[in-house]
Amino acid sequence: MKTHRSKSRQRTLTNLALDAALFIAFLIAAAPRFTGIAIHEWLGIAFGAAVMTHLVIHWTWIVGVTRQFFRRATGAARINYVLNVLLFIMFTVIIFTGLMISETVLPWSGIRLERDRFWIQLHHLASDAAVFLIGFHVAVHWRWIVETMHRLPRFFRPVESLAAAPALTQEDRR
Amino acid sequence: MKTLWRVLIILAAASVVVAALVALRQTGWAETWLPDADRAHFEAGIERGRFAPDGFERHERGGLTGERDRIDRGHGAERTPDARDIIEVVRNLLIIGVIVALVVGASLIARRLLRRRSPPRAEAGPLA
Repeated sequence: MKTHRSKSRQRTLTNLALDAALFIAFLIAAAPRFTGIAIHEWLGIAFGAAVMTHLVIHWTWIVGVTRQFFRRATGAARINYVLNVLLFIMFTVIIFTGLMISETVLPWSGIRLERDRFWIQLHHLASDAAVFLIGFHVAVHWRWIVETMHRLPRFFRPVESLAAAPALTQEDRR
Repeated sequence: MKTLWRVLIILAAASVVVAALVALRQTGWAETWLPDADRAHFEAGIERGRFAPDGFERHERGGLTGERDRIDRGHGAERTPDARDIIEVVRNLLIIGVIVALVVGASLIARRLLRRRSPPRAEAGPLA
């Protein structure tokens, strides 16, 4: 019981830390004038790796909703799923078009591509769309964020004192 | 091993998107929906002209000045970092904040309305 609670607490903390890091990384990477082009590009690639980790962590949910999308999934789960699929497409577009117009990462690896306005336009368009999609993504998960933030101090108490703490996640409830 | 498969599946899904993008590029259809102003600038050689042959260009700083700014948003104006441009971070944060406030507010109102509309539950009385 203690170990299960500890693992669940660890998982929630990992989720929160990774999501916060992703959010901050996106905000910084989306401001290339602030960071300069080199940091913008390398941060973009790191962001892609972090998104992949985020997806792997939430794999059970992805598979579950994919299987039940047209059958038993709730309306909220469907909206969330469609939103996440759009975000995935946007991030893929941003990273790919970013590589196609790269001035630091690709030349560093010895590849030089001709600048193409199509990729430039698409990169900007997808970045703008991603800001809005992230807004919706955060809004959909706002309750979880607020609840987790409220209970954050309890997470750092010893496991024994958590016995009275209310459940945070589905796994906690189980 | 399980994680590796998951990563491969994610990469496969990403390659589908990339393939679609490349196909879109090949069709040339996308050329038609690029903004006219940008096309005109590009065709006039401004976009290309901003880049010197060695890949370096003159430093241009632009504020948030609409279409012209959008065109200059190419990596050209972004090569050297500038702390003053933290305004971009703040702007995106504000947009996200407004969306969150709107969606969370709207969902709260919708929940309250639905609760009001739903008929009150019959009170459980004594069975006998």
